[in-house]
Formats: sequence, C-alpha cells, structure tokens
Amino acid sequence: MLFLFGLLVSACTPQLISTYDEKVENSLMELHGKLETFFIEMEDIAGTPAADYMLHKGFYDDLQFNLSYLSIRCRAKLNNEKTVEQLELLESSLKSLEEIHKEGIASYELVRTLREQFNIALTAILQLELAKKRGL
Amino acid sequence: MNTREVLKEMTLAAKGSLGDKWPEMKSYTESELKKLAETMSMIQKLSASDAITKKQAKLLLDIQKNTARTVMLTVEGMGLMAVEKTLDNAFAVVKTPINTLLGWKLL
Repeated sequence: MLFLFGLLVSACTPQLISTYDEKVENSLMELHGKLETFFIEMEDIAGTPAADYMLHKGFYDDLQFNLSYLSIRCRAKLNNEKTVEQLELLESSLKSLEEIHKEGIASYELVRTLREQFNIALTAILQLELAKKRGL
Repeated sequence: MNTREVLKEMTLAAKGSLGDKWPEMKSYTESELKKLAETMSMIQKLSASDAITKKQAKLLLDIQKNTARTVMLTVEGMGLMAVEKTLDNAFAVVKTPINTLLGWKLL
C-alpha cells in the first residue's frame, strides 16, 4: 500500500514550466543590447534625414535573425509555452516598430515611448527565464 | 482610455494569478504595470499633439498591448512556478518517512 502511495507521489511530481536555459538568457541580453543601441541612436537623430528607415533596414533583418534563433530554441523545450508566446508578442512588436519607422520617426518622445515599451517587454521575458533559474 | 482603471484591472488579474505568492511579486508587478499605464498616457499625448500619425498611434497601441500581455505571461509563469514549488515542498515532507519505511530510496 505504502509502495503504491510512493509510486503515485513520484508519478504526480509535475514539471509545470520549462527549465532555465543559459543560452536563452544570453540571447535575450544580446537582443536587449541591440535594441538599446538602436534607440539611443534614434533619440539623437529623430526628425533628421539620418533617421530614415532605409538607412536602418539592416537592423531589423539582424534582429529578426536573433529572434528566430531564440524562438526555435524555446519551442524545442517542453512546458515553455509562456516564453514562446512572449517571443511571438515580441516579434509582433518588432514588426510594428518597423512599420512605425517606415512612416518616419519625427520626435524624441516617440522614440522614448518605444524604448520604454521594449525595455518592459524584454525585462519581463528575462525575469521569467531568471525565475526558472532560481526557482522563483 | 482610463489608464487608472486599466491599471487597477491588470493588478487584480496579476494578484489572482499569483495567489499567496502575491506579496513576493507585488513590487515587480505593480512597478511594471505602472510603467505601462504611463506609456499609455504618453501615446494619448503624442496622438493628440499630432506628433505621430494615426497609423503610428495604432501601431504603438498594438506594441503596448503586446507588452502588457508579456508582463502578464511572466506573472502567470511565476504563478505556475509557485504551484510547482508548493508541490515540491509537499513531496519533501513525505520523502523521508516513505523512504525510511521502505528501506530504499523511492523518492
């Protein structure tokens, strides 16, 4: 009876969320660094010809590459739906950022608002990954 | 858009997800949700002053929604971890008595 109880207990130990992944943490930090560099530059040049989308198209391609790598890695892990959905939302936000840029970035305040949004999003994704590391 | 109301609703949702872990996560959650509410207010100002186009305002709002959802997913994920930790603690309590009674390490 006790044996069966033990088996039941061990079989019921669930893993509700994926384990920590150091490469995901590093990739998120890299992504954050690239975004910060971009926004700091844009804060200085907003409203000038140097802010033109075509001059920064490469930045979006580069970021998309980083994000694809991250998404594939996260999708491959079990019980990682939360992080995967967060990355999908980040990808959607990056597409919106690119569309905003195509329309023209005319003001410093616009860049500041965008920068704040991406900082909050990336911090949240990183917070979840770090919580997996330390176990909440 | 009433940012104070939105902030209140999001805080309540976060509190519900975290259960008894809310006190530990309260500071992070409230701080991030407050930043989101402030950004929402900035979008309204930029739009009202014609500093951005209508299309840009809509796209900014899409980003804002995505960001809010991202924060809530972190809160939900931490809620799941809290449940996992509670179960681990419960198993830890029965581990030694069961292993002692059996005479071998089952758990």
